[in-house]
Amino acid sequence: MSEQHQKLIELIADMNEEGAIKLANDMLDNGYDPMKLLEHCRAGMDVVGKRFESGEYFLPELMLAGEMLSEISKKAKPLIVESQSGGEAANKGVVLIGTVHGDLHDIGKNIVTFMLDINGYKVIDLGIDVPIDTFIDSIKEHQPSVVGLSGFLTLAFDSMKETIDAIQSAGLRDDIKIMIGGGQVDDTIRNYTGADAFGLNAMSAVSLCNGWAQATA
Amino acid sequence: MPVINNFNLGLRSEEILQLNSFGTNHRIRLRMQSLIPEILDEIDHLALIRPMASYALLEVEDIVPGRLSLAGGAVLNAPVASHRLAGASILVAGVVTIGAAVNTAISSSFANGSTLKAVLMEEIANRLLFKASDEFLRVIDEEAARLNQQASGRLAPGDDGIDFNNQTVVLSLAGAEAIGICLSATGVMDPVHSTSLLIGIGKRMQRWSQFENCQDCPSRARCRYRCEANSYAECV
Repeated sequence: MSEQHQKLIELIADMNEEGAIKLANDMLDNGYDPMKLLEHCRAGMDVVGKRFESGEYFLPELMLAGEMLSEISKKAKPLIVESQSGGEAANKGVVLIGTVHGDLHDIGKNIVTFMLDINGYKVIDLGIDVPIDTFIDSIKEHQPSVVGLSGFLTLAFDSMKETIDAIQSAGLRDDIKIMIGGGQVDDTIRNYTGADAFGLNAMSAVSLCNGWAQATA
Repeated sequence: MPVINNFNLGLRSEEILQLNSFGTNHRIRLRMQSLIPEILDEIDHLALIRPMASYALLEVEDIVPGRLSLAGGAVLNAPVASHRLAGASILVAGVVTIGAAVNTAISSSFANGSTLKAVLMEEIANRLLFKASDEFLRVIDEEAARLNQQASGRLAPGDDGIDFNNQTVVLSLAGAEAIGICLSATGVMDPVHSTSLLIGIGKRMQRWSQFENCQDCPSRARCRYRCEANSYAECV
């Protein structure tokens, strides 16, 4: 590992926004492989995620690290497309996400969407109060590997169950993993709704998707 | 039904920076120290916080274990409310909101990539809603004093022992529609930065702190807004 990219990982992990963006820009200006650069950024993000899970970092740190990665990506991604090595930036898969019908809370769903996006997933965000039919139609259209259902109140758990039952009835359940999150979800609720997994925070959602992506790779 | 729309909700940057839900990392705190005043200015400049409350003072007809009956026929099936509000001659059904504009601004911040700002604005909005709730309780204290009685602590549908299904009845009694609050099919209030309250008024009412409500709450272990103090606003 070069000294330069180890430094980039540390700057991101230590919340040094100005330093991280400047170093990333310098590296790109000097011809550093933009694909590799984004991999280092994600490695920095992984450190932030681990610190979040251990209680050292909180939501603001997650958001700021994500913003750093987004800012660096703005410069790196066009270079990836232009580069001789070609190809698009790493895409770990498609995640369809939405707040279930009857529920209007979107802060948790937005945080998960952002974290999945900066961790390399293409995220289709259906918004809030999403009707069951919209989930079904969107699964058919986008063919996601993961569907995320968000809901804050206990009564949203019935909406989650109805949505998952409808996905099953439409014959779409076998090809996707479904994760639920928000409010008081736990394994009992996961079992009740028929989801594959539940997440307690945005990093859990990323970990679940990474686990599923690795299992199918 | 009385409507309150003259809340005076001050919030200082320091109150947000003191929150337990934010860590101690030096760099992020510096960033927040510069961002929070900007957000507070934006909230002020664009009038993103529009606090309002509506409430009704309802004569209590009967309180038996598990049920609270009101003159006019409304009934709340709520074991905890019937226990904690025992002795109440009047039930206050109230609803407080800070309006929808702030949530729109939070969503916009997310959409344009200003996620730290969005998260901080959400915290600020929640704190202001809690402050509005505290202000509301003070108004009810004055109502109770006018009647030479006392106001209890506050309860709400969704608290332990007060089924969330009571929300529809409480909002209807409180006149929520008059201040633009409606309920989704699953009982979510729109605007989302709203809260309902049940308060008893009587000769000898128990007064409990928000801390005690939080102690009984099944969500306590993972709630970011868990209260460690006597009022929502002090809960940092």
